[in-house]
Amino acid sequence: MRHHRIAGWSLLDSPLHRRDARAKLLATLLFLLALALAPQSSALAAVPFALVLLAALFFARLPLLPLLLRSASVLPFSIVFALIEWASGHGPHGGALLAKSYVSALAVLLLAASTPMPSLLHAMESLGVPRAFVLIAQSLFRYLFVIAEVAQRMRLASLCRGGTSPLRPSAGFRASAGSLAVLFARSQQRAHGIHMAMLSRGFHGSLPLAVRPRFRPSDAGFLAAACALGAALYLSVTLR
Amino acid sequence: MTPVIEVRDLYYSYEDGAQALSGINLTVGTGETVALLGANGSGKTTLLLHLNGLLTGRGTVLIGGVPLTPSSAQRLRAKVGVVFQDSDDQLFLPTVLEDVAFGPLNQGHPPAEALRRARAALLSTGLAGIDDRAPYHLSAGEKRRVALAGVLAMEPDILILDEPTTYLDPPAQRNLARLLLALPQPKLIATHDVRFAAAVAHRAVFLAAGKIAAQGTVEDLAKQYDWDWASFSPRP
Amino acid sequence: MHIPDNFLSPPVWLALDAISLPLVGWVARRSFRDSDHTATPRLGVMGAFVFAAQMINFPVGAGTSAHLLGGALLVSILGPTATVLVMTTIVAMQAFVFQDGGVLALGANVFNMALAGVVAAALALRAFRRFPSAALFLAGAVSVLASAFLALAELLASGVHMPPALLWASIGLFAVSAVVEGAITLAVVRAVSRLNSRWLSLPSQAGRGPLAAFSLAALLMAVAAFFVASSQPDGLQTLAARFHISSQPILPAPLAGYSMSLAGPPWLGRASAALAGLLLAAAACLALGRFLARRRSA
Ligand SMILES: Nc1ncnc2c1ncn2[C@@H]1O[C@H](COP(=O)(O)OP(=O)(O)O)[C@@H](O)[C@H]1O
Ligand SMILES: [Mg+2]
Repeated sequence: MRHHRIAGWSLLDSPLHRRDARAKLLATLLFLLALALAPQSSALAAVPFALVLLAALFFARLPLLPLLLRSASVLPFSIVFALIEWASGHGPHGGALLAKSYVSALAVLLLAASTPMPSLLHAMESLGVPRAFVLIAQSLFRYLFVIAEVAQRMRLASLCRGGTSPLRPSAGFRASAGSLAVLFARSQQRAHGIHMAMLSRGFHGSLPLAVRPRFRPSDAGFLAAACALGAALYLSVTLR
Repeated sequence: MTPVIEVRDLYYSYEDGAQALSGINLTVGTGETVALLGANGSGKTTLLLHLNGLLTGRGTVLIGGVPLTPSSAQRLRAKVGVVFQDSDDQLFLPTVLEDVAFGPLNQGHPPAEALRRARAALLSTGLAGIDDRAPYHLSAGEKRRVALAGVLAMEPDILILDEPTTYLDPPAQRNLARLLLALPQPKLIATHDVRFAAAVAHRAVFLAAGKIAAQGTVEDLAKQYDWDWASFSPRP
Repeated sequence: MHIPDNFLSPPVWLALDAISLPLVGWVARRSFRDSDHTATPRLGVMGAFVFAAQMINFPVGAGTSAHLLGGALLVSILGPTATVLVMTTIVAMQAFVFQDGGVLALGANVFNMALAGVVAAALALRAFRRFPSAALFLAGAVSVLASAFLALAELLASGVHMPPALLWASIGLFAVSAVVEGAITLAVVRAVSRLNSRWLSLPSQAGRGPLAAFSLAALLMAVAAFFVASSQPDGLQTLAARFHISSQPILPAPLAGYSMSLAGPPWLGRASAALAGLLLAAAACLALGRFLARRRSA
């Protein structure tokens, strides 16, 4: 699974990892905002932002290349549009789109790779995201592995028995629908089992938090610095 | 002395009409460990889910002499700890420690106390030092013990285990048996593993098609129902 | 159709954030208040199912395969309200964890996929509930069409350039994906109902209302889509002029200059021509749905 590695990165230790998730979430939003409001006229506008991100990556002690590669998942979409812009004579605008969308993706990846999912969800809840979403996201994240593994096993089992034959697409289509229905049945069973197990341990609708994160002065300092940096970045590319 | 679990004339059928329990009578006494033997689909899980009110059929269930009703279920659930057959159902929080602390927090304990209980439970199941691990990275044996710790942290009066040896290799099964023997609570253990049952239980009841077909020692029942590997002659 | 950040202009993403995030928040708070919220984690498992379901490939001929997107399938299992919650969580998780879709553009992506797509599917299921197979097929198809056309419209309104040829190519692509999603939704729901029909929660009664609403929504969307599509006979220049996007002066406030001028006499004729075409397409879609339904039940 693709996010196995992100989950692994998020458990590392570094000055950035130790910052409160709320501070990091807000700082990321500020960064994205400053970048989005910066002019769309050339790719150069994204350069100062990229430099700041690289510095943050360095402080987070995260592996550079894997992160750079992973945030490239946004590129297929961006490259197509950049090419269109370029072909229609708006090359610089296309370049700006490409660079800015890539830097934005990298910023969000940095947040995900330096903040464990539970802390991130808790930060979102304390910033006003309704609890329903937090509960759904939490169990989605937890059972993604479990159900994806079932899907993977089912796919292998079908391949082993010659299930997907490119020669008979219609049979394959129906077989796929059947296995999806079985996957659904298993998920339903799983959901039922979890529900029972939670109720039997006294669950009554809210996830109590064992370790309450604290917003320390250093987190406030981090957030203030991020604000100042965001404003500086925006002004530097706008006034130039 | 009042039995810790008493079930009288319990009937239950699932929504789709399948009669899963038909007239169960069962008691578990103080300090007693009872094995609930029976084939797949004989109704073991269904019976266990009645013992903390997750299912309610026709008939009576008494926990420590108190009738289990929708209004008393929430309170009695704290007394009856259920370890589910599939640990993945039970371990849904991101870290081991948080998951084990989930029950005590639901019981209303403050976080510090909940964490203390969680750590104690992990220690008693021999799992010190994996507090921050993610449950999905553990081995099957470790998962089972974390699930047990999650229940023990609630300090229940009665332990219910549903097929606890599922997915466990023989060494892990022996570990679990040792652990269970060391726990003082009365236990009801659903299993179809005769050797495991013989190792941990004082007596057994045999469930077949939703009815208690026989009661006795594990060895007798195993012989009676031809469930023992000892009587199996492999090659001519 | 996950729009990354920086492709939408600030007025567009700001407006959509301001519309859809409070809206889904309201849906969440409302459904949390008047339902048994101990069951909410089950919805997460359904979300995980949708994620995992995308790993199963459906051969669609010519050696290619497609996968389920899932909105309409979830609607037919969980009903629209719960589906909005699950889809919103999925879209948000894709943005934050997989960098699939932007974070500032979250409102837009939620609007397209978790609101419009779900509402379109739910309306289709209600409006055509007498013909369950056609309804399921249509639900899958319109949920994809609604999401994709909205995404396209938002991109165009943000001043992303798109030559007409490409525009038509993407519209063709949307049509193909819509048919595929409809067929997968229909096939999977039928397989699920064979396993256990109680898992489905298809609408049991419908008045004229949903049909009317469905038609009206389809009509509005068609007019809007074709207005946007046909408003750029010579592509980029017109758009650039219309939206003052490219080569903007650098200093002024970033929100300035995005005003849209909607009125104009020639659009009326084009839109009505487009409307006729769309009605034809809708009829073809319906016929195909009925045909597939009959063949599968035979
Ligand atoms: N959720 C359910 N819905 C319908 N039938 C069920 C359900 N769970 C179990 N059953 C049926 O009830 C019977 C008893 O099942 P169960 O208690 O799980 O048996 P065991 O745990 O001994 O394997 C079986 O016939 C099974 O098919
Ligand atoms: Mg069972």
